[in-house]
Amino acid sequence: MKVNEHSFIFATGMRVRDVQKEKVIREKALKMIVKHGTEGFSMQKLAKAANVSPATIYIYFKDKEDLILELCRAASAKMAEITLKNFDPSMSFEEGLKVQWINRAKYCLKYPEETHFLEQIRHSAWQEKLPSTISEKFKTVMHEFVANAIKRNELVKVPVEVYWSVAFAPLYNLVKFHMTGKSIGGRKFNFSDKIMMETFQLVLKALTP
Amino acid sequence: MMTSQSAFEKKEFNPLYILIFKTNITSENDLQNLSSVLNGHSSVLKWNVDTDDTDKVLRIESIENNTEEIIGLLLQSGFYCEELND
Repeated sequence: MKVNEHSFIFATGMRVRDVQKEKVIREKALKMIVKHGTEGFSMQKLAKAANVSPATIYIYFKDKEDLILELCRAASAKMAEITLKNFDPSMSFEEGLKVQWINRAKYCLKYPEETHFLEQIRHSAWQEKLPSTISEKFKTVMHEFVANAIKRNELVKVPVEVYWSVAFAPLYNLVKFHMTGKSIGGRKFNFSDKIMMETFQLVLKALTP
Repeated sequence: MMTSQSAFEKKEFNPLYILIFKTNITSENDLQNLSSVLNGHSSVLKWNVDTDDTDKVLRIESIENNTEEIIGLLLQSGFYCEELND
């Protein structure tokens, strides 16, 4: 929210800002958007679902747009933090990509709703309304990693779409299988480190010059 | 020379009140009329109306708890305005 986090915020009737209540509102909103999308989402519906009055939601958020953008900011920041943990763009390509896979898998499996939410946003008009600070930093680090790997001749030079489709899409596909519990032809599927690393080795082979 | 304390500086030292109202503000014209009432107000730091919401919620960040005064100002300007309680 845009209000200074350190200011004392009182609602009408002198209610002090309630961090726990705000958390419940955020979680409920995310769940609703994942389930029904942003179109039909409204502050009134959220109030009912979260069992608070609409006025309570407006204490924390200016309007629907402010709320959705704030959820995006929070989810992107968390995703970036987890994905960049123990990662350094100067790592060897194999090591760096492995850390990326482990981190990305961990994020998706631990926060399936937020993963779904970010996916929804990425393919919508909301993406353009987001301030790019978080994604810019993330992009810069990833570009540096790729540029270093190409320079050291550890990575083939291909268009970024080709790189991404080979480097990460296989992992996200395994995650998707896992989330639905089924792979192709309705086969039962569970994600495991063994399967992840087996796939990773093939990806590495494909991307090595 | 600093002659008076600006609203921004006051925010640093004083609690911020968030006032929430149900209104009938819908059009661009309504918003312009409301601007002339609220933009010059000495205690209002920020305000917005969620015209997408059924309650046309007016949200004000104020340095005072001046709910009654705001309701009076809006009623005088010909708007409907009622405090929304949490």
